[in-house]
Formats: sequence, structure tokens, C-alpha cells
Amino acid sequence: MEYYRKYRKKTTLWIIGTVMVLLMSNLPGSNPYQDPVSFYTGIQLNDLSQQIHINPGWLVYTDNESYVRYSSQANSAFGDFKRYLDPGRVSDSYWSASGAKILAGNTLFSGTFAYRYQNIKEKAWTHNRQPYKGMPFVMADSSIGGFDLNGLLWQVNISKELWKDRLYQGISIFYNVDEEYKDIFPRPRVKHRDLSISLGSGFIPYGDSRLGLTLQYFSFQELMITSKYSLDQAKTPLFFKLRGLDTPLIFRGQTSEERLMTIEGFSVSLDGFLRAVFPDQLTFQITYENAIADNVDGGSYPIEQGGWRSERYFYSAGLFFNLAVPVDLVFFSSGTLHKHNADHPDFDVEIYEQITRRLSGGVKLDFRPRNAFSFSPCLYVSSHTLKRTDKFNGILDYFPGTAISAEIRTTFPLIKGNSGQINFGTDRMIVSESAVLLPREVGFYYQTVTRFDEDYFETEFQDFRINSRIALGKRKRVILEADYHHIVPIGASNFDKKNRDLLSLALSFEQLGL
Amino acid sequence: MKRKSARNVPDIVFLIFMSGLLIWTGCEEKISQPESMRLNLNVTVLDTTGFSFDQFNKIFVDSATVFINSISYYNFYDTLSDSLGVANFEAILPDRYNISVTKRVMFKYEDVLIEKILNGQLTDIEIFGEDFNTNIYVEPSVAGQLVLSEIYYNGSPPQSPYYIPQYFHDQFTEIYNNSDEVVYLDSLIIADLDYGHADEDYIYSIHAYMFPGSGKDYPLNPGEFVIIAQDAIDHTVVVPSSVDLHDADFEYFVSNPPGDQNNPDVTDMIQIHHKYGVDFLYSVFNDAVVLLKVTDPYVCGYSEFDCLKFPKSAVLDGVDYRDNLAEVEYKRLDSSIDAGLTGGFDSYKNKSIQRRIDFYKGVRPILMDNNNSSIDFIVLDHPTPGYIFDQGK
Repeated sequence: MEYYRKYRKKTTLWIIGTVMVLLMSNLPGSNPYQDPVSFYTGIQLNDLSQQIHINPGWLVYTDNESYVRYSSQANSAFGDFKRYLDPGRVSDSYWSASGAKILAGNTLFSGTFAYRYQNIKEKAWTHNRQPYKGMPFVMADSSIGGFDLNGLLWQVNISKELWKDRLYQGISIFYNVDEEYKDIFPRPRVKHRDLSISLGSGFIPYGDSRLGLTLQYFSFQELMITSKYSLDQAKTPLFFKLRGLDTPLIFRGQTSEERLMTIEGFSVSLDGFLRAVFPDQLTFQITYENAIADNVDGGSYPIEQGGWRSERYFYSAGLFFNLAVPVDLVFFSSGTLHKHNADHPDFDVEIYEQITRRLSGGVKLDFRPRNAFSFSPCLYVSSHTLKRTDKFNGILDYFPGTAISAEIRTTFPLIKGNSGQINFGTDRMIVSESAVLLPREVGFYYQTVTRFDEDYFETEFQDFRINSRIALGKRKRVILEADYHHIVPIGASNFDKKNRDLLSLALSFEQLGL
Repeated sequence: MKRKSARNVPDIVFLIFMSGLLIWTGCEEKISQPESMRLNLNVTVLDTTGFSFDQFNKIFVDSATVFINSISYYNFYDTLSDSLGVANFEAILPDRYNISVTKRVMFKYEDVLIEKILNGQLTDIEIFGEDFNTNIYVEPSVAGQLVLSEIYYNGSPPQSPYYIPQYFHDQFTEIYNNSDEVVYLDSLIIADLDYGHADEDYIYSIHAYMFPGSGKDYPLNPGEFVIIAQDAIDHTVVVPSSVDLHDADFEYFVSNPPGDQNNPDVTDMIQIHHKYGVDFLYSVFNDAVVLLKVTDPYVCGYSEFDCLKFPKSAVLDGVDYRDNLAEVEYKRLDSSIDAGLTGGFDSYKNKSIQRRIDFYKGVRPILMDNNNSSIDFIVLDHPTPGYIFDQGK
């Protein structure tokens, strides 16, 4: 017999990091982590984000000037308002060199090469870099400690005009290798190899209107190895092989544990910018992504640990109306649907399902009273749903919620032709009715981790954010970018006096027109 | 370029959009309690050999102890079968399971009280979906007079101030006379077994060592022990947490290859077969040790992998041990010798496996012998050569 536990008037919170990405996109409230590279790997390098999410066919169309840029970027997250398996503190640093060169035949060759160093503190248990992406198969041990990651990543883009002012083609290749170590026993070592290849085509039907198609293939590999070090022979590692919201497999490791997790998938994306049809401007993007993952333990004697399927759908659209010469009115909307399903490794049965939905829409006014000055107040509403069903253990989590967001974007001139941009925003998660349905008995993992996460997802919060960008110089520029979020839980005793802060700083030296 | 007027359009679009958003947010998803995949398992214990039918006029075995262990989740459960031979396990997790069953039966044959053990096992059974029913068939076997009462295979940890590598030369085997009669050790063989031989009739030994004597040279009285050391020395000199075996009764000495330590004051076991190593080393991870009796150790010959074969029927007692008890699929002994698996601890911890005390006959302990080491053995934190640690009830 099973019983029913239901929480009323609780808030959902499942998408903390999304706001950082929102500020990077043109439209407020647009789809967070749409790109599989950032979604599955957690790599958040601005230079990449600006390229990787774009149909590579358009690069030569939109980025038609050669440049070279050297950047240093530091992202950090800290504070105790977090899920159980999230790290207490993350410092993620990138040193990158980027460049673009216009070649003969209106061909653009561009790319980025970066070194990455990431330092993580107080990460509980998991060896996987992204334990909250809807895959229940997570490798863990009983320790809480830090990770040090060193990695190299690069991206190369080639974009070419095939038919003058009509047809464009491009390819973009991303590759990342890194290795991280946990600094305490049992000292797991995690190696990553990530690859993404995008092929894009762009067509200009008339004027500056555009229609594009992008095909993307991606493959992400995570190899987690724990060897028993001779210096630590007196200790015995305790491994958890998570398989959902409860009842992990528990092993007292004798010598070593090894897991290879591979995610492979593809996405198809349609994008468009239409002018003078209806309304004044229309932008849209529709994306479908399909991925599968495999988890295999052991090296020479592989043991399946479960399969995983993922489907993600995105759309975003913006309607631009020119009300008067300096004023545009923009309606925008975006939506996301993630469906993840996991199968038991031994039996032909589905054991886990996770669905996340988000629908966002709002309105923005763009005032441009004079050159290099703009002022854009914006208001939008987002509906969020997270539903996790552990069919193996009989646990259901359902967290619906609504976020109301307000934002002001300003662009302003500085002296001597320099420019600046500063954005303020806030998001308020509003109460909806959530539900947690449990079997009669739950195990230690539910009591320790899942219950904590459920409290987190049910907690209201307010996110205050400020984002600024200052560019000094014209052809040789120094660009300073800063992005700060202060996330405060509201009315939650479990997270009383606990906040989460996200800070991103980037300094770039850029030379245009080589 | 002429543009369309958009003065009224924004309101319409906005209304349509916001209406859609309200519908979306207003829709409450239907949610219901997901069914847990936990299920009930019913194991029916049957004896189709004719033994139970002859003795008790039925083939269903009641009051048998049925053990199940989940291979992935490492859960262990046990219960007794009812009058219809059914053992019920409620709300277990779906997994691959090993099932074993044991029952000791006493019966009279021509006014002689005889004890037999009914043992059976199933390994790697997939149990999921609907409630699961399965049958397990038992076979009668005899409790041994001589039993392997303790096996210390674990070895010792590196220990200050020596910091030597892990130490395993302190291994020993203890044999106990569980019967009421004097038993002679002469020509009995201790062997450890190779894994992976699917053979109904033979076991495959990696090492085999025989007690010396010509028939009645080495008697063992009821309730007495005999210690067979890998090296009969005081190991506490090397590792203080280890054991002193300098006065062991017998010692494995390997003359070829050279290098084995020998205590001349302790009687050597006779080397019958030695496949590899400078000593008769039991694996500190997993192995099976048997005590057996044959008239000619070489009559069955060798396997193609240089293992000396013995008939399974010659085994007097056997113990299957492993560091990971979930890995029952790698067991080396079948249920006629050992239906269970013991161990389940890390290497080099000074731990030992010892047979439980079943009951006392006067002051003499009778050790448990169900031919199922999962039940018969306990794990000690320190070896007890030559005596029994009474763990109580």
C-alpha cells in the first residue's frame, strides 16, 4: 500500500542558471541551454556561445569583418541555495584566442581556441559533471570534495557565400578535451571528450529576410575512473551508482570503479528573419534535438548500466512593430520541452521519465531616441514545469511554477565614441501547486538527496541581475563584460539565510579589420 | 519600402499570445501515484530425488531456510518455507537474484538416527515484472565429520613502523572434528579450486596438498582442531596485528620452486599439485577451499589448463569465499558442496571466516554445517587459530 503526500502552494525552482543565458540572447526569456554543448557539458565561454548557437551559414553574412580577440573570462557560482549534488562553489576560468578572417570568394574562416581551468569546491558525491540533466544514471562515491579541471577546447567555423546575396553555407566544429581530479579519497579521475559538428545553410528570399537550416551532430564522452591508490590502502571507497530518485546500487570498492558515459545525438533547426511581411519584422527559430546515452561500467569487462533517450524541442519567436521612428514594440515568445526516458540495464522496461516544460512570453519596448543610445524596458512571464517519475521506486515529483520577469536594457555612448551597455533585471518565481508522491517506504538516498532537492524545487526565489558591457576604442578595443546574479530564496525555512550568487567577468582585447 | 500598418495588430497578437500563456499555465497536469516495480517472490522448495517422499511422504519441503540475495543491490533476505514448501518474499526490488535453500533433517533408518542436509540453489535469476514464482529443487547431502572450521585468507595490512607491502604469508586453515568419533587426517587433501569449469563430476584444483601418514598416524579427536599454516612462523614479528603460527600442526612447504620459508619443527604437507606460486597461497580476493579424500590423487588426471582433477564425490567439506558477495555468478562450488558464499570484506584487514557454533554437546561445540557458507560462517575481525570464537546467538 502506498500513500500520498502532496504539497500545496509551493513554488517550483528548477532552472537557476537559465537567466545567465537569457542575457546573452537577443530576446529576453529565450530558450536556456538550447545548445547541446552548453547543456550537456556545462561549458560557458562567451566567445563560443556567440558562435555555437548560430547557423554557421550566416557567419559570413553577419560577421563580415576580420578580427582577432584575446579574452579572459571567469565564471563563478557560490552560495548554499542549491541542489544537493550541485557544487558549493565553482570557479570556471577560460583564456581564449579568437579570430576571423574574410577570405577570397566571400568566405569567412573563424575560430576560437581556449584553455580552461575549473576549480570546484564542496561537490557532493557525483563524478558526473552534469548530474541534473534528466539522466538518472550517475556515478558517485560517498565523499564531498573539490575537483580541479584542466582542458583545451577549440572551435573552427567556415562560412561561405555560395550564390551572391542568396545562398550561404557553413560548417562549425567544436572539440573539447579535459581531465579533472577529485582532491580527496577515493580521488576519481574524469576525462571528457566532446565533439559537435554543425552544418548550416542560409537562404535570402528577398531584401534582408533570411531563412536558415542547421543540422548538428554531437558526441559527448565522460570517462570516470577511480583507482585505489596505494597510499590509501587503509581506506575503502563506497561507491553509489545512482539509478533514479532512490535505491542506488552501493558498492564497497575493492580496487577500482570505471564508467564510460556516452551521449550522441543530432539536432535540426530552422531559423528565420522576415521583414515587411507581417508584422514589420519576424524572427523565429524551431529546433528538434534527439540524443541517446549509454552507460557502461568496467573496462575490459563492460557491464551495462542503463540506456537513456532524450528529446528536446525549442521554439522562439519575436514580432517587431515599428510604432514610431525611434520606438519599436516587440512581442516575443519561446518554449522548451525536454523529455528524458531511461531504461533498466537488465530488463526491457522503462524506469525513469523526466519532463521539463517552459513557455515564456512578453513584451518589450525599444526606444532609440538618438544614435548609440537605447532604452528597452521589458516584461515577460514564464511558465515552468518539472515532472520526474521514478517508475522503479514509485516516486513522482511534480513542480509547476510561474516566473514573472522584468528587465531594463540600456545602451549608451561614452566619450570619444566608446559605448556601454547595462541591463537590470529581476525574476520572481510564483507559487504553484506541486506534488510529491511516494511509496510507503523510501530509502536513504531519497531521505538524503531527493528530499533535499524536492525542497529546493519547491522554494520560491527572487533573482536580481545586472549585466554590463563596456567597449573602449573603435578598431582596437578593450571590452569588459560583467554579469551578476543574486538569487534569494523567499519564505523557505530549509534555505533560510542561504543565497546563490553567480558572477561572470570577461576582459577582451580585440582588433578589428586585420 | 512600404510597410503595413501595425497599429492594431500588437494588441491582437498580444491578446492571443497571453491567452495561450494563460491556458498553458492554467492547465494542471493530471498526476497519479506511479506503481513501484517492487514485487513479491514465491519460492517453492521441492525435493524430487525421492528422499523426502520416502522419509516424509511428500515432495514439498517445509521449514527450509530460503535465502535470496540481490546481485545488484546487495540485499539479503531469508525466510522459512511453509507447509506447502513455499517461501514468500514481499516487496523486493526487481533485480537478478541468487536463491539458495537449506534444511537439516533427522530421520531414523533401522533404529539409527541419521542427519542429512537438503540443499539447493539457483543463480542469476531475473526477477521483475509481475509477482514471481519459481521452484527450487534440493538434493540430500551429508554433514561432514571433519569441517573446515576457519580459513584465514585475508592477510594483514601494512602497519607502522614496518610499512611493508600487504602481507599474506600468515594465511592458515583450521580443521575441526565435528563428530563423536576419532577421525584420521592421514592422506586427506586440501585443495583450492579453479573457476569456470562446468563439470558435474569433477573439481579442478590449482594447488593440492596432502596430509602425511599411512592411515592412523594423525588422529583428530572429537572437538579438536588442527592448524595448517602457509608458513609456520610467528607472523607478529613482521606485522604486529597478525598471528603467531610457529606452533601450527602442519605447514605448506613448497620445495619447487625454491624460496618458501620452512619451519623444520612443523610437519610439512605433501605437495600433490602446485600450479604456480612460491607457496600455497589462497587468493586474498576469492577462492574455494576443499577438504577431500581419495585413494589415488592422480587417477582423474589433469585438465588442459594444468589443474588436477578430483571427483566431486570425494569432497568432505568445502567453502566458497569472495570479497564481493554479490558476485555469486563466479562461485566455484555447486550447492552439493557449498550452496552459499562467505567473505564480503576487503583484502588485508586481518579478518577471518569462521564456522558458527550450532549447539553444544556437553561442553563440546558442534559447528554449523549446512553446506551453505552464507549461513554456516561468520566474519571475525581477527583470526582465532586453534579455538572458536563464540559469537553467541
